[in-house]
Amino acid sequence: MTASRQSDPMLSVSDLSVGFDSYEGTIRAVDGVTFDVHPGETVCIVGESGAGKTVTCEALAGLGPDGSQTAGSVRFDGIELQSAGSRRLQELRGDRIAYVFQHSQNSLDPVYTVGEQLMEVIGYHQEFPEERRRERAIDLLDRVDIANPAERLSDYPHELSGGMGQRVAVAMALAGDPDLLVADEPTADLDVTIQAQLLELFAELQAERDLAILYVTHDLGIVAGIADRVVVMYAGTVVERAPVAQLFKSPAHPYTQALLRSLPGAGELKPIEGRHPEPSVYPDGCRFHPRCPHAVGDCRTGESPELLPAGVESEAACVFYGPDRESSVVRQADPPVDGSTPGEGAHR
Amino acid sequence: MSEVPLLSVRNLEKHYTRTTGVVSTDVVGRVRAVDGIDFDMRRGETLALVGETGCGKSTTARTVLGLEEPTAGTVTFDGTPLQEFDTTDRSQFRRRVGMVFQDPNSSLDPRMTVGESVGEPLLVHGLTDRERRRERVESVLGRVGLSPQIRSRYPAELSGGQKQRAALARALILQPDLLVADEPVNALDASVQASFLDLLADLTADFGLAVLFISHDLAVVRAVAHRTAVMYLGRIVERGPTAALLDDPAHPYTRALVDSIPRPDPSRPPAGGTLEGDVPDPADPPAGCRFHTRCPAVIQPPESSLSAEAWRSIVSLRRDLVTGRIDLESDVREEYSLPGQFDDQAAESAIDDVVAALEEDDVETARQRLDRAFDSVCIEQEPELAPIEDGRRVACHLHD
Repeated sequence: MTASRQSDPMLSVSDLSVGFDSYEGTIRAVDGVTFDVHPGETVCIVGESGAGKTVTCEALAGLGPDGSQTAGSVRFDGIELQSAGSRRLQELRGDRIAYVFQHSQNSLDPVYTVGEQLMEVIGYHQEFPEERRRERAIDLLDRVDIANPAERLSDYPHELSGGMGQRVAVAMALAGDPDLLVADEPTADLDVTIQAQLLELFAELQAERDLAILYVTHDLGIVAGIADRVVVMYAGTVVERAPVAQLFKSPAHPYTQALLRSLPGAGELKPIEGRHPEPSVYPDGCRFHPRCPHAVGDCRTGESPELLPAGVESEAACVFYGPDRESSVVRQADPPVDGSTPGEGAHR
Repeated sequence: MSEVPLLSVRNLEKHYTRTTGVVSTDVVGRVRAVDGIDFDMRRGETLALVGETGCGKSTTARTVLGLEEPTAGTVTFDGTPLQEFDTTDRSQFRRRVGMVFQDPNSSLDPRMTVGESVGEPLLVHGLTDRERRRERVESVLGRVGLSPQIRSRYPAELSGGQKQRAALARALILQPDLLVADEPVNALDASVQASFLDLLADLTADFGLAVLFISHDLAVVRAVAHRTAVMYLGRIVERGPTAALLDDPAHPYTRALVDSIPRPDPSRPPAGGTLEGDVPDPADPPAGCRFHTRCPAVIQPPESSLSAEAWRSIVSLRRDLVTGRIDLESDVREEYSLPGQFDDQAAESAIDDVVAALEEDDVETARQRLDRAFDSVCIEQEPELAPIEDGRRVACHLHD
């Protein structure tokens, strides 16, 4: 949790866009996304399903779906990944950039034991004799708090519980001693108790090796617990970037505000009316305007707004933070909810 | 409270037998999915069942619905036990009980329009008049916050939240008295979750619907449930009004669950002290209190005079011996910060024996020696679900 902002960023993403061809023309699932992750720092990407969080992560090291076109720049430790060849990317992935996904257990091969798979990955990163690889596999399992690691090596994936499977996946990701860990909803299917263990593990690993972590989630509780800085995505764009304390204390963008109000436990439940748009039909202007209680004329036309300074170190993509505008309009703690907002989710 | 409860569950058990192979019938174990639970539900009341994966909450729901035959115990619906139902009763029961599951796709046929799916139960129960069916479908869709036009759409054309609302409409169309909802908002985004939970709360208030709400998400439970029962390895360990139970958990397991929820507040650091390890195998639940292998608050035997710190060290040593997490290469005394010399003579000689056994890599002997020396009530005796203050019940020796 200690951000070392003086250092050069480990990952620097600028103006990243990902498009897909479809019958309805090119769909821009991710549009102009910019953020940095420094060594020892955790950056969380939050947003609803369909906001482009996962596509962003996959595009970083060329894991985007077939047929997708990426534009913009992704620099990892000074290396431009967008122009790096597939061999170079292959070397970086696993070795220095590790991924953990939502159902990482599913990436384990059911017909090989945990040990065989771990040792294969270790052998891929370092030329070790078998005995040494075995020791390293045990070390890794021990590191992710798996009991009796030596015995677990001969287990098949189906013999592991969900939490254990996810830990094995983390162990595998750590085999190459990475500098950047990209974690996409790694705890989404797990019980809260197991989730808490895994989050604790991430924090320990980060402290141990100054790991940079990019963590994708829709759970603001997790964000509050682990993030140093937060990137809020909506409809493929970044709508707010802020240090975690500031984001929760004074969210700048109306979408972030609405998201925080919709949390169970925050008093009365206040759902966000309407629904997140599909990538093929992103609205003109600010993509949040159909659901925004503050939307005015210029929110509805033209390009989506740029990120503008909205506080110390925080930026929001909202016209109200522009020059000659009164940002206090959107800063109101509790804006009146506009009953006429369109969308089928509006039930009252 | 003389009112007859709508649903009354007594000493409910559901065990599954484990056999040696696919075709073999040699029983090698019994998975005690649900192992003796009691609860009542009144009209207009939402009761949440919470707990980790494998605690038996979904099995309870399925047994209550009559989808599983209980191994023992009774489920009584509106005064009649399910076992005594005749054909008419059964059909009545199906009309009066609705269900919603985690995945809305599982309750909507992809080849049927939403209107057909939602109206199907009416047809099954004999409402053949198309026009009246259509009216009822439109009215129930309106009630769950969907526009009537959605009737002619197919499930694939709907968002996750809309599908879950359609599934709810189907569950509600026969105007049931009881709704069983198994993780209904798990697959939905937080913003959509909120509106679905809101809707559920309105329905219970306006129509006296009773809801049995299964969830592992305590934040969601707090928002919808009047009362909550916490399950662990097939048993209810704590039960009571939701707010009281979550604000001041009486059972160490409830406390651990509450502390594990990530809080959307960066100024309050995570509670820490998370539960170690996974849920034990329900085919072989631990003796005594089932939670004692993971419990941070195991009770010291009355005759021992250890400091709180030394006792905690012994408990974590015991836990690691049981779960096999012990590191045989390390110095046990140092690793568990056990005092160099215990004041208590019996404790001192016991720890000496344990260390000696571990030097021989004999974990089993070490564990038995430790158990003989420190016989905690938590390991010896299973606690009863006994009443404490504010209408709550808890199964924990700390409250004996």
